[in-house]
Amino acid sequence: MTTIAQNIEKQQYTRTAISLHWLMAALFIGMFVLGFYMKNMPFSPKMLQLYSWHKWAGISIFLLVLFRLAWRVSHRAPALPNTMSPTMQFLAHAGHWALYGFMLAVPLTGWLMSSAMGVQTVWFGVAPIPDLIPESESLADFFSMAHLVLNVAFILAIVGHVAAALRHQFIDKDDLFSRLSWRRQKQSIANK
Amino acid sequence: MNTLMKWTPTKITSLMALALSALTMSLAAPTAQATVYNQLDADSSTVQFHYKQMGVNMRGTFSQYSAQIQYDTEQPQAASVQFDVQVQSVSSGNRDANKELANKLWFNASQYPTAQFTSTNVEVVSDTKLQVTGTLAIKGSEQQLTFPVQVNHNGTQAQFTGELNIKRGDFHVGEGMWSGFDIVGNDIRIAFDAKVNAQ
Repeated sequence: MTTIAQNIEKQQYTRTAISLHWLMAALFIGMFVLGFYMKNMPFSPKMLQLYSWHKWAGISIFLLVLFRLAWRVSHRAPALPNTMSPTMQFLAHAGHWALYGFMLAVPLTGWLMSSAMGVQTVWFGVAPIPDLIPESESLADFFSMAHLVLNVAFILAIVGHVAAALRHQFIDKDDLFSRLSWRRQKQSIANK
Repeated sequence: MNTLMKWTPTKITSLMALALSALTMSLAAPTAQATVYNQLDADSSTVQFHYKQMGVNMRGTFSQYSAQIQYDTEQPQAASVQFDVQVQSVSSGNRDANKELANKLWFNASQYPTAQFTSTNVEVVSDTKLQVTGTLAIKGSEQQLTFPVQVNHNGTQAQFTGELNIKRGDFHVGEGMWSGFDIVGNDIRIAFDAKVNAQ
C-alpha cells in the first residue's frame, strides 16, 4: 500500500510547490500586463501609482521566488518519464532552471533600476528597501534595458514552457501535466 | 626715574616697535573684519527640494539661479537677498517628470519662468545664525516666510544654509489631476546652500 502511494507521490510535486507554481504563474502574467501597460501610459498620478504597486508586487514576488527556490532545492522533484530521451530530459531541466533564473533576475533588475533612477522602493509605502546601487543615469538606462530584455526573454521562455507542456499532454500523452495538478493529488490520496 | 635711566637704547627701540605694531593692528583690524559678501558662486551652491511620492522620499534640484546678496559682517542685520530660480531648470532625476514639471499644471515655466525670494527683514540671532523673513513668489502666488539661516564665513567666502518648508498647494504647483496629495505630497522642503564670495 505504502509503496504504491509513494510511487504515485513521486510522480508529483509537493502541494506547496504546486501552489507556488500556479500562484506565481498568475502573478507574473499579471505583472507582464501591468508592466507593459504602465510603461506606455502618459505621465500622470495614475501612472506613478501603478509604478509603485508594480514595485510592491515585484518585491513580494522576489521574496516568493527565494522561498520557492529554497523549497525546490530541499524537496525532490518528480523524475521525468523514461520515455523522454536523455537530451530532452537535459533540455527540460535546463529550461526549468532558466525559468527560475528569470524569476530572480526580472524582479532584481526592476529593483536596481528603481534605485538607479533615484526612486527608492518603499514596500507597500511603509517598508523602505535598501538601494543597492547609487542614483546614476547610465545605470538607470542599463537596468531599464536589462529589465525589458529579460522580461521579453522570460515571456518567450514561458511560451516555450507552455508549448512543451501542451506537447506532453496532447502529443506524447505521457500525463506529465498531472505532476502539477491538484486533482491528481486528491486521486492519489483516494488510491491509498 | 631710576628705572627709566636703566633703559638701554635697544629696549627703547623694541618698545617703539611694539607700539607701532599695535597701532598698525588697530588701524588694520576694522577693515580686516568688515567683509562684504555679495557675489553668489552659483557653481558651488545648491538648491534642492524634498517631497514624498507614494510614501517614497524624493529629491530634486534647480540648477539655474542668480541672486543679489548683501552681507556685511559689520552690519549683519542690514543683510538682504533677492534670489531668482529659473523653474525650467528643475530636475527630479527623471526625464519624463522634468518635462511634466515645466508644464502648465506644475510650474507653468513659459508664463512664470522665475521663482523669487525677496528678503524684507533680517534678524541676527547669533554670530552664525540669522532669522530671515521675506516673500516667496512662485507661479504668481506670494507667501510671507520666516526661516533660520546658518552663516559661516572665512574672509573670502560666506556660506548660507537653510531650509524653507512650504506647501505646493499654496502656490498652485500641481493643478488639475495633480491637485490631490495622495500620490505627490503637499509638503515641500526647500534646502539651499549658497556660497557667496567677498567683493
